[in-house]
Amino acid sequence: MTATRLTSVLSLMVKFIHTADWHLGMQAHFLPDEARARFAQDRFDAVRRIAELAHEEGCAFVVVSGDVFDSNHVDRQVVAKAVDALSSFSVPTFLLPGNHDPLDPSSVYRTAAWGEKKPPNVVVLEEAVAISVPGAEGVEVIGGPWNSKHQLGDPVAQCYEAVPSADGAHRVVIGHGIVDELSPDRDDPSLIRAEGMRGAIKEGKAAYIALGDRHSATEILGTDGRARYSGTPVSTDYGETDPNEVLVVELDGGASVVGRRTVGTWAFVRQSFDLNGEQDVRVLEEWLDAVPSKHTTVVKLALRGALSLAASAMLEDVLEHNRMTFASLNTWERQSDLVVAPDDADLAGLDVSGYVRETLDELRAEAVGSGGQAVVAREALSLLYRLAR
Amino acid sequence: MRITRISVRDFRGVDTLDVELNPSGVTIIEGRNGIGKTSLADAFMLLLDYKDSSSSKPIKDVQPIGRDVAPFVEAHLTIGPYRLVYRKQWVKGRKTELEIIEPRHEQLVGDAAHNRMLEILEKESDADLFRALRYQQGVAISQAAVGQAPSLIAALDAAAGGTGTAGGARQDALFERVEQERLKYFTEKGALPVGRKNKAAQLEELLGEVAAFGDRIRKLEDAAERQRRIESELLDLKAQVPEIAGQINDSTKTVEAIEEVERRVERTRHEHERAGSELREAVTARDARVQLVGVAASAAEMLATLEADIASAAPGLEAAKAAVADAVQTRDAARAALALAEQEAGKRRRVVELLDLRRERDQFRERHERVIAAEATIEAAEQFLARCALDDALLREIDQVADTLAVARGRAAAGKPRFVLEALQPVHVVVNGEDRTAEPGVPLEEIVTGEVEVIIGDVARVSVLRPESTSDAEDDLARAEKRLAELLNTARVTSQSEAHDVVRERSLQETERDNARQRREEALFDLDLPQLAAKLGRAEERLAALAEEAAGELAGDELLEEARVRAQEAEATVRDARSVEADRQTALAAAESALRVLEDRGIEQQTRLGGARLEAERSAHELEEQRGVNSDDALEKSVELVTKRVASAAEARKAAESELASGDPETARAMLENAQKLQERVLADIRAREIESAETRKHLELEGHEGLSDRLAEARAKVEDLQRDLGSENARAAAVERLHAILCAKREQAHQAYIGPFREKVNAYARILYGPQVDIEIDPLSFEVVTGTLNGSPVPFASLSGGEKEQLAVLARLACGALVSPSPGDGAPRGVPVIIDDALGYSDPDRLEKLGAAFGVAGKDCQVIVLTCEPGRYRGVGGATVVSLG
Repeated sequence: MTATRLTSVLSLMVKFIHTADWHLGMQAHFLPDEARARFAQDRFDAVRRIAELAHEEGCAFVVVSGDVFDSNHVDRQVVAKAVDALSSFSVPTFLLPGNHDPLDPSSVYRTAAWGEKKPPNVVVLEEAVAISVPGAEGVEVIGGPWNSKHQLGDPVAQCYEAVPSADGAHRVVIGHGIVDELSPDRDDPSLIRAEGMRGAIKEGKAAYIALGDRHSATEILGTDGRARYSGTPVSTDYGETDPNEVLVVELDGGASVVGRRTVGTWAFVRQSFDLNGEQDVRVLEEWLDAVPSKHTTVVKLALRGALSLAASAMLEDVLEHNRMTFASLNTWERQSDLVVAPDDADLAGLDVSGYVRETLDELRAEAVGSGGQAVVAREALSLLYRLAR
Repeated sequence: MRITRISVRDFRGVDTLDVELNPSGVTIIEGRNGIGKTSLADAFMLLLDYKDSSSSKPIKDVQPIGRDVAPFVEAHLTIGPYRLVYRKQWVKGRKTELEIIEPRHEQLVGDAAHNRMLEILEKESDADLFRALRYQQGVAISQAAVGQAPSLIAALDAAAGGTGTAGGARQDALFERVEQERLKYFTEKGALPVGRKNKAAQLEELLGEVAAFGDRIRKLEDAAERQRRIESELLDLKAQVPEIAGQINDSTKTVEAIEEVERRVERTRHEHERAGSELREAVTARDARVQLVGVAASAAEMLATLEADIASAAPGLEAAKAAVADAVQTRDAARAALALAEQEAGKRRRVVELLDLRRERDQFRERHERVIAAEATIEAAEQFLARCALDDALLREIDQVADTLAVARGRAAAGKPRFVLEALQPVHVVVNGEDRTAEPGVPLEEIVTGEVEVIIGDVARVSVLRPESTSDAEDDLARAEKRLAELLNTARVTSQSEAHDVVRERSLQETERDNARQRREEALFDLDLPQLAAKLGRAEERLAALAEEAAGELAGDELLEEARVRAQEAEATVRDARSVEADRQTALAAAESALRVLEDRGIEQQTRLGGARLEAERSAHELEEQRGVNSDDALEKSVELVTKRVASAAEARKAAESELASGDPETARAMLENAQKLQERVLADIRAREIESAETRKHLELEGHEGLSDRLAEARAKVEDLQRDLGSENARAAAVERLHAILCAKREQAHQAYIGPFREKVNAYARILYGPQVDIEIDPLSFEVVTGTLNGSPVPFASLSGGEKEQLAVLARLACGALVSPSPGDGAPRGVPVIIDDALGYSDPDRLEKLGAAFGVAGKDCQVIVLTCEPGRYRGVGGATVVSLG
């Protein structure tokens, strides 16, 4: 069997798109209304972009390795828009139910809205049965769908041993979940065993394993690049490595040549700054100025240091200004430790006397330290500074 | 600021007015009402405040009515380093001119002049304070609103040591901004404003929404999980169905085989039971026969015994009957004897009764006769007594008179002729009408007192006549005779002797009557006559009746006592006869009772005999019949035969049962039943799960695509936004609250510090008026007088007298004016004039005088302009410049 496969591999040359984690219907609740709407819409646009790519690249089919929908409980409108976006695909497109949209009885794939409108070339992989890909002779796909939010056992393992759809077919296995070697929680029963994948590829039971769940594009070590996470085509959160892309996979003999294509534009950026004077504020300002595509960029700033009232006011101005251009610009409260206290220059610049001056002095004394009272006092000082300026 | 001169023209009712003022000290402007004093002050205010182009109401109001003229004001002022002339004309020929003379000459017109003037005022003076220090009579007594006047604050600050703690206008403006900022987060009273409250409420609501959506999603996920489980269970259950069907098939076959054996068991059991039943029947038949034979025998025996008993009892019964007949006879004889005795006794009783009654009647009759007789006697006596006119008294009187007469006669006779008749033979004579019989030898002598007539028989009538000569004796005699005659007449007797006879008779009659009465009473005894008569009548009647009844029974002359004895004897005979009759009756009852006992026993025996005879006949008949069907031997043989059949049937049954037991039918059936129940249960489970599955599916379908996760995310986003917003708002609120708190405290402290000089100044002036003990308390923020201690105890300003209020209001203004003006020699004047317009109308002359001194003191430090229509009121102000108008 294995010998037969290896023989036929030699004559194979097929191209397809591996993508995953579309999370259609995801609500970026952390965004302002306007950006939130764009963020939602851009996911559907990304699906259309993938369809275009498939066409442009001459791909024979597309596999989506789970989490096509953000939830089984998305609004009907989301399903309708998804069906609409999927109708732009001209090649067979295989969708795998993931942990966000498991094929449980409440599955979005079991609704009338989906069942009645789904384009004919879109196939939901409902069980681990090998399917010949129409128009791609010698290639079959097989997926291990999630049937519940609580998957018990490696969802991919069963795919290696399933009966092939045809003799010598090259099997593209589609799976969703965390690979054990990448998971901090080794006791999770749904983990995908890396060793199993390596074995399957080595034994020719899988020509390529298209993984989903991890939003960063990732290659599984020891698989010769044949087991990969494609990452999400539209970034969803901070900390994602190389998101906004899909993989173009070529099965050519024994090797897969992967090309990465950018689809999404959204960026989630966390940046730390030490601010200890107006000069530092200017550095921050320059950094912000340099960020491209601000309208699709979500920034979280970790600000540390100590600023004078004047510098703090300047910082506020900078942030206020940039909030108008960025999709979202916030401080990362947990990681921030910025002390704002008036310095001599601040106070010298204030034309106050009498009891106001005494008030200022008292607040300055209170503002020393890090307790709650000091924080309030610093805020009060800033306010006084603002009102007296 | 010092005003050195004011000129007005065509201003209200004033044509022209031009007044020079003392720039440092008190200027008193005197003039009658309407001359334009107040207009001067008003004009100066308008000059400062209103552009020449203004057509506002205050400007229109100063336009003289009915005159085509334009109001004009000009003032010469010193402000700080400036000395200038400022003039304006409104309404017509509008113009504004500012001529600055010092320090550098400037000439400006129009708005430029107005603006420049404002600039100078702003920089060098304090227009607000100036307004506050103007005191106008007629406008209610008010304290100067100088609390926020920058120049006063600055002056006080300087007076307090010039540390700048008072801050001044800029600081207060900042304070105002802080307060405004605070009002964004708190109400005046420090509570949360509606907006912040709403946000908190909104957050609560959103959190509720998040929880609700989360809950719905959780339920949905649970439902999906349940549905998945159900579907999996359905698969399992459906897989069980054919397996269970196979089990049922196998078990059915086993059970059918067992049922065949069971049927055999049933058959042999039935046969065995039937044989047993037949045996019981044969034994029963035989036993019944034996019993029947016994019964027939004993019935015959019983019959014989009873017949013998009855026969032996017959003589006793006859004897008893005869005894009863004898007893009846004896008793009847006794009864007849008793009847005879009672008859005799009756007769005897009636005789006694008759005799008794007769005697009673005789007694009544005798008593009745006696009564009748006595009553006749009484009647006769009563008749006599009724006729009798004499009684003992009359008799005694007659006797007395007769004696007297006899005496009289004697005496008369002694002297009187007497008539003597001597009968030769018995002859009947009538002497004076009295019949007498004259016997020979017995002479009839008669004294002749009167006429005497003597008739001798039918022979002769001799009359002896007496002459009419009377002597006493004769008179007495005559009287006596007359008297006696009267008495005798009364007694209806003719003579004394007859009278005596009559009386005797009378006595006899009375005795007779009384005796008769006695007798009558005795005879009546307890009755009266009619009763007695009635009793007699009744006795007679009864007697008559009884006599008829008892006719013939009465033996002739039988006496009552005898009759009684006989009656008693007859009663005794009756008693004896009755006793005998009772004895005989008792004997009869005993005999009857004995007979009844025997008769009852006989009846019973007869009854039993009847029954025994029937029974004997019946049993004999039945036995005969039975034997006709089956002989005793036949029955016995039948028992033996059937016994053998029972034994063989039992053997066959035991064999079948043993076979059944070895087949374990309970287990086989239990397995079949179990398999069937399992099938039922599995099918029911399948149905139940299918229903549940359909319901869950429906729920998932309905709820699953409402975009719950979107809505949850949205609600969460809102919560986060709001929380962030609230967090930052709370931080800002805390900051502004803290800033406000410290500012307030510091401001209060500052005010407390610089209120001192003002207070000192007010008190210094007050001492001039009220003496050294005075103490005026000032509010540190408003600078108003709070209390005044004028006579030992503090009194709130509002409670002071009108005069005192007015005086303190003026003193406070003077103190302000003095404080804001620099001390002499300090160079350019910066303070503002104090204008007192017709004040102190409530103050007494003593206070007015002292107030004049206070004005004088204040005038050293500041310009004071006093407007008055009463020149005398300010006479006490020494060193004042007085300007008289009109």
